[in-house]
Amino acid sequence: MTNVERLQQAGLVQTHIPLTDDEIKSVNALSSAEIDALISVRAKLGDAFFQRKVKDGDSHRMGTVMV
Amino acid sequence: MMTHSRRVRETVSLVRGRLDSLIRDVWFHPRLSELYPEFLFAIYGVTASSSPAMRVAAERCAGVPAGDPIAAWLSTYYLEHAEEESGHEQWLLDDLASFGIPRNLALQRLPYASVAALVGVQYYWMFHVHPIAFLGYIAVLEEPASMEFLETVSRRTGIPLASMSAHVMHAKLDPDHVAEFDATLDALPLTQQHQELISVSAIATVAHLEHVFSDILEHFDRISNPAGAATIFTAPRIALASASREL
Repeated sequence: MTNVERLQQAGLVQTHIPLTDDEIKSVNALSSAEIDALISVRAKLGDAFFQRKVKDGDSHRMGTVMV
Repeated sequence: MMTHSRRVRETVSLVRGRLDSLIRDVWFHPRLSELYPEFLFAIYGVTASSSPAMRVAAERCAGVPAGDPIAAWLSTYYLEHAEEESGHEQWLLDDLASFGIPRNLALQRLPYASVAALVGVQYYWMFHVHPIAFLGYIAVLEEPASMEFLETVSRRTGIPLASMSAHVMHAKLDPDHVAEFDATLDALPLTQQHQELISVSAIATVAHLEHVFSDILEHFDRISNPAGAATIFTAPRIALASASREL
């Protein structure tokens, strides 16, 4: 089973909102421990759904938190 | 070639869609000038814990097994970084004060449980796995907003830049922080276990930050609703006019 299939099985990747080719490549490069972490925190993957309202580059301009 | 930093950034990029959306909901909130103190308070909880956590991480480097290729370097890095970040939480208290919220009132309020969870996870890894986990936390959190963005926010909302000193100072001091951090990470002789722990720490950091930003929005909803739960920022009405400091 590929990493993408594991995440689909865990419900973290919606079949009707597919990952991009780059995202699939990134997911399949992750180790088993990293996939476990994604499943553990119930991370929802993919830009298509969440970043619909965040324009390209916005996340860098807004920053995150800074410590 | 897949560098350490690229691997972490790609992993974070995969999972930060919801976080970016929440951060945007805060920055572009229709009542940001009223919400901003709540945002500052949340960040204060995170920032105040950063330097102490880095010092603990440095101490924990002494406890890793002999022969670890990066423990000595890591300890020095954390100590230097802790010194750089020391006192930054005071900017947030100053900003809160500019909104009419006295320091003692801000300090009396309990930080969000989500902030405690965000930072607490790092202590688990420092004490029970390896202090390199904290690099995953830094990779996600230490990304300041751009000065251009802050100026736009100030013009749009009327919040004086003087009341955004914490954001402004980071934008001015750390504009190249991400590139510098990535270069540092790429120069390290990381084992696969190190890489995985940094990555897992970053994934957890994104997940916990989602809760922090959700809390900012939800706390503000309660504050702005008289029937909701009271907080120290409920009354009197937050006054921008009290902002008087110049940067």
